Amino acid sequence: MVALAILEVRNVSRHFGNLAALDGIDLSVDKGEIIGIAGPNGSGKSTLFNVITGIFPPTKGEVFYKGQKIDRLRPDQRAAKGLVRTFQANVLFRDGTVLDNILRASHLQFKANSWQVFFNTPANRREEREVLGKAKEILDFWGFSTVENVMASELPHGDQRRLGLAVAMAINPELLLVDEPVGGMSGGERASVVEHIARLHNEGVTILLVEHHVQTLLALCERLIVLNFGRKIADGVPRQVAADPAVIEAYLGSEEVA
Amino acid sequence: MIFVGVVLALAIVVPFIVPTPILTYLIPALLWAIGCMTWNAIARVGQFSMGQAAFYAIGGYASAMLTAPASFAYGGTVTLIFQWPVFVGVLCGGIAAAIVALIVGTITLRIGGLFFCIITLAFGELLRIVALNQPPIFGGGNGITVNAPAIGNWVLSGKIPFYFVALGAVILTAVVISRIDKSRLGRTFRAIAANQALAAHAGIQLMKYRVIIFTVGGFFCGMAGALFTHYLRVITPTVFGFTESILILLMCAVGGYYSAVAGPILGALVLSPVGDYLTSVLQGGKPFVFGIVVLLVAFYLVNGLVDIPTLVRRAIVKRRKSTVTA
Amino acid sequence: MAPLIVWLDSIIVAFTIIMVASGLALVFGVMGILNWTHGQLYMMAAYVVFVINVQLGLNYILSLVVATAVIVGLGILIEKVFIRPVADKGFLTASVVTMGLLNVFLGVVTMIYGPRERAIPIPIEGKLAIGSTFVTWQRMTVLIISVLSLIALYWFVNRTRAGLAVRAAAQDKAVAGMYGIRVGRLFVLVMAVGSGLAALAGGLLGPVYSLNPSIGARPLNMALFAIVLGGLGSFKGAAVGGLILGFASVMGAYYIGAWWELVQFLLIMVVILFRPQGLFGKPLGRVG
Repeated sequence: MVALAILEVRNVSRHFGNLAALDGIDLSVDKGEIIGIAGPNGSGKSTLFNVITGIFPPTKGEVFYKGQKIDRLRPDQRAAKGLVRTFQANVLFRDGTVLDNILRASHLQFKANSWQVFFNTPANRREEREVLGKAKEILDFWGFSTVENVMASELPHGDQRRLGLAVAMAINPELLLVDEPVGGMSGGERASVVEHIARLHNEGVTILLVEHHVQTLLALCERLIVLNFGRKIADGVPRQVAADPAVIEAYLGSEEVA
Repeated sequence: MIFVGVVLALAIVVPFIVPTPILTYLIPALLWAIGCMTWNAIARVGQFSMGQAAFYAIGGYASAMLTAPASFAYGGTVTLIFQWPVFVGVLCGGIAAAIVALIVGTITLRIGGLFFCIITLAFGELLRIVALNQPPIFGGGNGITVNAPAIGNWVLSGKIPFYFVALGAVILTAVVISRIDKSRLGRTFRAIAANQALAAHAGIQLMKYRVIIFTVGGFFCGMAGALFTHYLRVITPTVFGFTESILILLMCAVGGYYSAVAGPILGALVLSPVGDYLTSVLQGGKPFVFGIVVLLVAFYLVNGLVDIPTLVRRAIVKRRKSTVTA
Repeated sequence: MAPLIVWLDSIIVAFTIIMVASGLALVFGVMGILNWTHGQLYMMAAYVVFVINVQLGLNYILSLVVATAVIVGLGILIEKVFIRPVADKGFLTASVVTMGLLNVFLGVVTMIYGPRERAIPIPIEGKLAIGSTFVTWQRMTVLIISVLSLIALYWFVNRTRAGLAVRAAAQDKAVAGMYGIRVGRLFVLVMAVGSGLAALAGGLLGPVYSLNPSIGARPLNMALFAIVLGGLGSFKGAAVGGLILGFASVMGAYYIGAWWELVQFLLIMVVILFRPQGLFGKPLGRVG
């Protein structure tokens, strides 16, 4: 039985002027996998995410999601199909509370049109209640129930990043691209994040995880891909990849090896 | 809510207790307040329009052309004489402006940001040039003279009736803008303004919402422009230009951005009468005083005039605290 | 084939637009804000020239130099007092402050000199024969000085260390800071250069066209359009945009007459539609 590849990146390159941030990347992700993406700074990890979610089109190659070519779709259209990402920087809506952030991210769950919203019809009010309920469940899952009405910008750094993950969950991902979720966190926070991502994965979300922290990668990922200078230099079982001489050489001199 | 009720009651009573000349300052202030509310609403989706006055112009000209008396023959180019009732003209002015806003918005809001700023500015200038250089249809430099609004046979030619028309328009605009702001639409706008990339990745169609608020804003500006035209009984190419678009922005800045309705209205009610008075007294006084006020507010009263009650409250609390500890 | 004068005027207008646009682009590129007083600097330089050349009767070139010096000083003052405190508070706040200043300058000049148009006698007399037409020395002076100043600008941006700092800061302010370029000094520098260019343009064109307090709006608008056309981050873009607009405005007025402004606006809209980042700008991320 062939598992359906939820994401296929075919020979994708992305150039900025003369610089090839991505150079002939081939990547295939099956539904239900949890895959790690590693590589030194500047290896193209962020650019890969940006191309997959639609911020930049690839200069060469194609991206397929659930069997459909998505290169012409905007990020919001891709999100509507279940392709969701988190951000490494600029993670939240800083002018709102914790609850506001989740509600705004729940946008796709609302079906009422603008007129119904404007006149606040019973249908609209019912929807607001339902979505509010789901939002509170999400907050509870991530442990934010007690700080619902705290301004997102006032949360400690680690909590802000976890809120970013909660925000992504509100968008109903089928494929979730997680961008460096544990940066700057303490051991306890990291463990919590790892546990929650694992739970999301168990609920059926396919996950692509970019991360520097090796332990996190090894703990979560079934498969590990390593990029260097925009090219894929390794793709396989995490422990084998970590021992691959090409990978070690790529990291030589950089401080990301934990 | 009580506060709103008090203000409303005051607003209704005002024309009967103040001398009529004051109304000459109040009526334009009310009409500018409409534009300010729309500018503010567009700013709350993260875009800065430098062309709201242009929509006043569109509304004004549309209404003028549709309601102009028989003596204005479109320079002989068009034989149809519409001569529609004024209130229909005003409505059509709003619709015309909304349609233009829809078109311009769809083209320019794709890029947004500084480009949008400058294009809306260019657009305003363009309209002025077109109106100035095409006399037959638009009346050229002299513009188009129109009638006062009328309901049936009752002509609203006095200041007091017109004050209520303007007040009604302001209330209508305030209710709509406020309702949008409090609803999920407003929440979506705030998301877009706070973090465009995150909003898009959350499935929010940026263009759709920007165009919606820009078009709604255009409608109300068009309506206000048409009302202005019928108040002044004439529209010329110079009345609604780049300068006025800047003044709308400045009124919003002085009043305060953070409130959807109170700030813009306050800013307009304060600056517009001051400006009109200064123009009649001293050439150049208006821009000078406006500029000074804006600078003072920007440096010392960062959240605008709307913030004053909060600041006063805080000052009182501080003083009470210090007397208690002393 | 349009007469020589039209070509000459096209070049003159194009170069002066480039001067004003470059000044604006310099400030925007390095400080990230739009200086709305830029047009008023142009206007006030023209008035200074008027005062010194016409009212005091002194030499025109001298009045140009004085005007430029005064306006550069004013520009530096504006930067230190009004812009520096709000430079990190966002585009809107800085815009509001500079728009307030715009009005203050407009008001002051109107109050002192009145809103009426003033006729300025042509400062430089005489004509030069070129081929079968005559070109006034006035025009030639404007042309020569604008060319010289643009060459100086090019040399400054591309061949001096300060210019390198400017280009670095335009790319990435944080990076520039790391290389030891004092960002504060840089701000003052670009304001000075930008103001100087605007002042020269104003002093040169004041006598040629007309003098009233509102003449600052047009150069500002044209500069903005040039920048939009050419692309935001790019000085080259401002130059090309200025060239296109300069020629379009003069040639357009000559051939098409009053409708050329509509054509110009449509041109800008079309360019934006198909190339949102302008002719030379960096590609924008496709988020919206």
